Parts: sequence; structure tokens; C-alpha cells
Amino acid sequence: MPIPVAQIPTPAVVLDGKGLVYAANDAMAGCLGVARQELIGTEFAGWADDRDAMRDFLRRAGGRQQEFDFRTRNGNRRAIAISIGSSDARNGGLLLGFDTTALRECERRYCAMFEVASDWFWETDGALRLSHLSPNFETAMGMPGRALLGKRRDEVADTTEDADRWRVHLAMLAARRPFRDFVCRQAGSDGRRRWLKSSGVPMFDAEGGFTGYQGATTDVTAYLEAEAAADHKRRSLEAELQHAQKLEALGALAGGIAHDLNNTLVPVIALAKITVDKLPEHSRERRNLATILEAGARARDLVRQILAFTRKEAPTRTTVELSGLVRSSLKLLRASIPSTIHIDEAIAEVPPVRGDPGQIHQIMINLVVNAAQAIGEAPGKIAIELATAPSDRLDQAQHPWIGPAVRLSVQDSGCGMDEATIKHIFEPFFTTKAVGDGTGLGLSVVQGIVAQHGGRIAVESRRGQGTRFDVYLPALSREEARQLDMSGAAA
Amino acid sequence: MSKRILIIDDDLAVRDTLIAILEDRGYEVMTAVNGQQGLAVFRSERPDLLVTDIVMPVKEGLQTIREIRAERPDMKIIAISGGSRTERHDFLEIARQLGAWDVVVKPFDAEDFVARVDRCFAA
Repeated sequence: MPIPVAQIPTPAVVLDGKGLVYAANDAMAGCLGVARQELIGTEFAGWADDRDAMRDFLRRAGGRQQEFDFRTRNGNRRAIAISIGSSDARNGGLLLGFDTTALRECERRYCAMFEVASDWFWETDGALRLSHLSPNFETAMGMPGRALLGKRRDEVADTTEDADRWRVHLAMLAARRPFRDFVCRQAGSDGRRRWLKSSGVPMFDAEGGFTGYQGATTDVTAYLEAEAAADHKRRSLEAELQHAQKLEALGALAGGIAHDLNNTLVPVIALAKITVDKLPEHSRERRNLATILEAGARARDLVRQILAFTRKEAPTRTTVELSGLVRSSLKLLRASIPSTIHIDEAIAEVPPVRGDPGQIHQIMINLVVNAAQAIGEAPGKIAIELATAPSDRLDQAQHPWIGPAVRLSVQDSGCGMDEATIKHIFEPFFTTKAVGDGTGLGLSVVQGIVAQHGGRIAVESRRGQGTRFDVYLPALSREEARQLDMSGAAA
Repeated sequence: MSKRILIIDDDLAVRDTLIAILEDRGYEVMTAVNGQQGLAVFRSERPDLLVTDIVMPVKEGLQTIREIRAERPDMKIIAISGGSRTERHDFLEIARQLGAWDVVVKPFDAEDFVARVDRCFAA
């Protein structure tokens, strides 16, 4: 009885004992892009790309199914899985085809995607042990995937710090529920812990039995680190803003009270002065008035310092030769530094800076006086150094300018500070000194001046081991200094 | 005859202090509490020197200096100030530009202030 090949819905041909097409349906002809009649009498293996493999397949006739590539009449390729539908293919029989071209294309596309994706894909068995890891795992983590096969995900990850999240995650796995974007930590081959983000779905067999999970994981360490850095930056900007707002509020307050306080101090200072000169020398009254005068002067200086600290006007800008300025500042300062303190000078000739000489003098005063107070009455040393700052150090310190810089360092052998203190030293009104000994504005003033000059201040200190302040100021080239002087002269 | 000095300041303590240190030095002193009153005293008493505060109610010091300079361009004026309430302008610098002979920041040293007044008359 002839096989009713035309009625078979899938591609089908009937071969004779020599492998020639005896009958074919339209579906097979359509696959190959020819008319049905054109197939009749041709060797079927001749339509396949690998004719010998097809002949071999037909001769063996024992194979259940094999996929072959066919070239169609218009030059396209088609993949057709051929199975032998009759038990006696050697003497002719029915071949059934299944067009797998779309499947192949799909596979090729996914393989390409897997290759370009930085994610890796994995599968587990029913006991949640890893049974497959795609090659990207090795690329990302620097270790072969086989090292992890047979282990559960919670055995290879670092679960100690995220115990609670893992508990929830494992409960989801036990409930065979899909999960998305579960983030955990896992060490790479270099020992460095990476942040991994995984999503997975449970797999079930035809009977609904759980067979494991399959999913994808990606290394999000760089992303999280960048986010943390951005977060840090945002926090520091917020802190800066808060600092600026504090200063503005202080400025408004200072402006408000300074005027009235200065008026109040007029009689204290002026009348005490004219009266003190009229009192007998060595009298108690004269000593008392002298104390009032000193207190008045201290109050006056405090008001001036607050005003200087909060003042908005731009300082003067001229070319400043720092070596000369630092030497003359030191000359003045020596008188007020106890003789038990030795001052070491290492003042190099450095490029000029653009700035306000009075303000830079103020930096010297505040830093050196602080250094002396940190040493106290015990013998000690203050080292003052002026040098050109090495450019490689500038880059590492991320200075806001590009180019040369000068460094003014003041280092003392005093009591030093702990980290908690260092955090606050530039805040206005923060002081470690006794009431009356410090206003808590000295370092705030220094920081403000340094910032106005486009510079930066760094501090190094340890309790009991002294303190070192490094002030970096942007240097001018000789040409810039010359131009600045000329423009200044013209103005 | 001693030189006559008009002091304009809204702060009683400042006025009393200036009276004390200037009379001590032999000057004759008259006072006013704001620019408006100061202008009236200036016109009626014809002082030799004006010492004026800047930040005052009713009529402030800079306007007072302008009006007095308009009436008597050779009038010697010393401006004194404890700073502005906003600290956005340097009022003493403006006073100098308006023709003040000297400017003094409050609080001041008594001897230094008297020396400035003396110099003003010596010039």
C-alpha cells in the first residue's frame, strides 16, 4: 500500500531502495524551495550539505534522528532534523523531517548574547547544588566554574554579614519561588569580595517535579562602589553646604553684634586708658584698671576676628614672595614664643603666589601660635618649612589646580590630637583650649584664607606625637607674576 | 580760645567717653545724637571739627558728612564707626571718599584718638 505522504503535515519523503525520492509532500518541497515534482527521482542525500553523512545515516537506518543542513534552491540554508519513519530504510521507506532552522537561529542568537553579556548563567540540581556555570563566570571571578560545581550557592557565597537576607532568600528557594536581583557577596580568585546580583527561576519536569533552578548572575561591584563614591561625594557636598550656611548665619550674627559691641567697648578701652595714667604707679587701682584694659582689648580682638572670619569682601591680591614674608612673620613671632621652644627654619626660595600678604601673615601667626600652645611650657620644637610642592604629590592629593604649588609646613612636637579632635578643628568656635586662651576661630580663619587663595590645608597628628599642618598654595610662574604686577601697576 | 568739637553719636557711652578724653585735652565739646540734630548744632555753633558716627538713626553719618561738606567744603571731619550691621560695605572708606579728614575704628585707643584730633588742627 503506497504511503499517503501528501497527507502528512510535516515535511516527508519516501525513498526507494537506492535512496532516490519516490514520493514527497509539499511541506518537504517547500522546505527545500523546489516544486514537489523536481524532487522525484533525485537522490535525497544529494540535497543535503553533507551528502556522505546523510548516506551513512540512511545506510545505518538505526539512528533515531539526525539534523542535516540543506541548501535550498534560492541559496538559503535550512536545518532539518530527519527521522526514519519506516523500519526498512535500506529498501526504501519514509523519512520525516522537522524544520529546525528557526530553532538554530534562536540558539545562535542566544549564544551570541551570552558571549557579549558580562553576566554568567547557572543551573542547579534539585538539591540546589550548582550543576552548570557558563564560561563568563571564570572571566568575571577569575576561577574556573568547575571549582564550584556540586556546591550550593549559599556555600560559596559569603553569608556571614548578610545572614538575615540569606535566610529570607533560602526560604524563597525552599518554596521554589522565582527571585530577582538578590545581591550577595562572594570572593573572587584574588580573595577580593565582589558584590553579585542574581536572578533565577525554578525548573520543573513534565510531571511538575522540581528539578532545580536556572538563572543569571552579574558582578555589580564596580557599580556599587561608584554609587558609594557618589554617595560619599554627595555627603561631603552636603557637609560643605551646611558649613557654608553655618558661616552665613554666623556672619549675619557677627555683623549684628559687632557694631553694638564695638560701641560698648569704646568707654571700656578709652576711659580705662586715660584713667590708668592718672593713678599712682604700683597702686591696686592702677592694676585693676590695667586688667580691665586687657580684657577690653581681648574683647576687641575677638570681635575683629569674628568679623574677619565672616567678611565677604574679596581680599587684596598681589604677588607675594613667600620666603621673605615667612621670615619676617617669624621674626615678629619669636618674641611671643617661649624661649623653651626651639624654632627650626627651612625656608627655600619658592615661586611667588598671588594673594593677600596680610592674610598669609595671619596663617603664619595662627599656625605658629597654635603650635606653641600645643607644646606648652615644656621644651619643644617648631619646624617651619617652605618648599616647592612636588607635582606628583599634588596629583595624588587631587589639588583643584594644575601646576606648581608651594607648601608651607608648620610642625610641632606638642601634645598632638586624636582623630575625633582632628575632625572638628576647622569648625568655627571649636577649641581644645581653656576659656580665654582661644576663640576657636584660628584654624577656621586659616582654612578660609587658604580656600580664598585657591589652596588646600592638610593636617597630620597623633596624640602625644605632635601635629603637622601643610598649607599648599598655587604658585605663579615668573611670567604670570610679571603680568600681574604690570596689571596692578596700570590699575 | 580753645578749639570747639562737635560729636555726633547715638551711643551715650561713646559721647561721654569722647567728652572725657577731649575735654581732658582742653578742647570744648558739644554733642548731638543723630545727623539731623548734628546739622542743627553745626549751623548754630560753627564748630572747628566734627567727629561723627556713621550708623545712626534718623540721619546717618554719611549723609550728614555730604550735607556738611556741601555747606562748608573746608570743614574738618573725623568719621568713627564700629562697623556696619551687615558688614557688606566699608562705611569708613566711603566716608573718606566723601572728604572725611580721618577715619577711626571703634573701639579706639584714647591716646591715639587724641593724637589724631591734634594732628587735624595742626594741619
